[in-house]
Amino acid sequence: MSDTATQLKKLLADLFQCSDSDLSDDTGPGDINGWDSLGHVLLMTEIQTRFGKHIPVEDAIEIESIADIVMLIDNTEAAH
Amino acid sequence: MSSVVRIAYSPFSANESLADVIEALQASDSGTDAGFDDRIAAMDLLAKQILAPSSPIRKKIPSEGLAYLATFLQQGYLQGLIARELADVRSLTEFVSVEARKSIRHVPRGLVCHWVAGNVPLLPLFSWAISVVLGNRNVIRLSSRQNDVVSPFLEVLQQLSEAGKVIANETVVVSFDSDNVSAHRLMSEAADARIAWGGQEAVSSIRGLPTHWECEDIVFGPRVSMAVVDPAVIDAGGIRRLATDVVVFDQMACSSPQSIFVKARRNSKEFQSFRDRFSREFDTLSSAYPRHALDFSETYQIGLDRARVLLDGGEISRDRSTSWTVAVVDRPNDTVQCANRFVQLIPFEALDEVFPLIPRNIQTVVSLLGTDDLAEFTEIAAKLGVCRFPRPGEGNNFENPWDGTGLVSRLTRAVMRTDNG
Repeated sequence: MSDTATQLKKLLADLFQCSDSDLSDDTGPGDINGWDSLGHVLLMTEIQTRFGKHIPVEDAIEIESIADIVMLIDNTEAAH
Repeated sequence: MSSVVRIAYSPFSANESLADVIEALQASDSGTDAGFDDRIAAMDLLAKQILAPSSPIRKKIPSEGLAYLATFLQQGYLQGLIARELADVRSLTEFVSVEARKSIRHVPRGLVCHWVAGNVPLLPLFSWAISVVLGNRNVIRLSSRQNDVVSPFLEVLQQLSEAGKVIANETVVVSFDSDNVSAHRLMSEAADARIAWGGQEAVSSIRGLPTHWECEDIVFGPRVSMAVVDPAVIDAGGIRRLATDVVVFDQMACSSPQSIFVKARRNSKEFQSFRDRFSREFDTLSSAYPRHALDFSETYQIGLDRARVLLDGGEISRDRSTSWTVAVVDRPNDTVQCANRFVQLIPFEALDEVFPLIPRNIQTVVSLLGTDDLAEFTEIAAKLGVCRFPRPGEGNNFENPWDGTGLVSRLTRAVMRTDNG
């Protein structure tokens, strides 16, 4: 598992108070308690804070899974 | 009906009349206490408050629409929407050079009065947010029948920062009946900009109110929306997001698609597969997003519209009750209301078949087509009146410009200066 995926799962577990073992690369919005539309916006802001990466709204809307987020983080330049 | 005006939120002393409140607001400081950056930062803090699971706002306001609002108020997003209209956002705080010896400065328009429609309760907060970050003072009029969802945000905002307090102090929320002509006139005559949300009758009556000749009118009237998709391009996630665009707000938002044009022959495997997959998502989401309680006339309307489609040679997919309906028709049936999760699917083979069916009051076309089709479709449809072409999932994201109108240029005055040589 990549470093980004590990850190992201830890963030999700903190944010939505679940165990990282409940999270797989295929887990997506709606699959865990709290990861609803508001939770998704909150997650995007936390990613900006913790990873220094800004995910544009147009990309955030199309996220289907943790794997999608990892790809976006790894392919996004650091926010200034 | 009554002539009572309720002052729901005001920084001024209680028990003042509407005339007193408006006069006090006009006489208050012109927004120099908080600059553009401070105001944007205050909106960002408000967004964070909405997102906080323990936020008092989330206890008071129904969650529908809060995610859209929280996204909209975030610093980077709001700043981006404003920058779309300005060559340099610094012109909101100082004169900036635009030519060798010419500079431009954008100053607040003054008092912005908002007349709010009841279809989407949080809607006024979007135009209000843009107006306040530009430094305007605001009066928001709600109908006496509407719940006040604005004041809870102001109560939180004024505690977040100095700029938040300034903004809250520059905002008044009032409610009165639609036939209270004297209250409408009072607002209209004081306004430097009028923002009218609503149906034909509502926006026409607001436009007909007396005001001063320089007043700017921004009208968000009765527009409708649709979608155009290619089953060869849209995947399972895209279909789910498209169904979400239809389901949230129960199609009461102007941006909610009422019909979906599908690039496939009606009896083809592609069309049937799209119809089945969309219906499944529609069913799942209709359970996930609670709908408002329908009254008898709304339920009756769904039954009537289903019958109209069938009598017209269309087909219906639906749940056992009246939660959702997917109608397949050869062209949009104008007698069908397409409300409360009732959507029409229209197969087409060439884009030329779609253009004549775009209504004059079109707002949004949620679009997912191949690159060449998208370029051709958007170029022609834009000239037919379409204001925006978001992808599935983005349909209800409020943005600037909206309804083809750039809010920044309408809510500021552009001031030119010739600089010393």
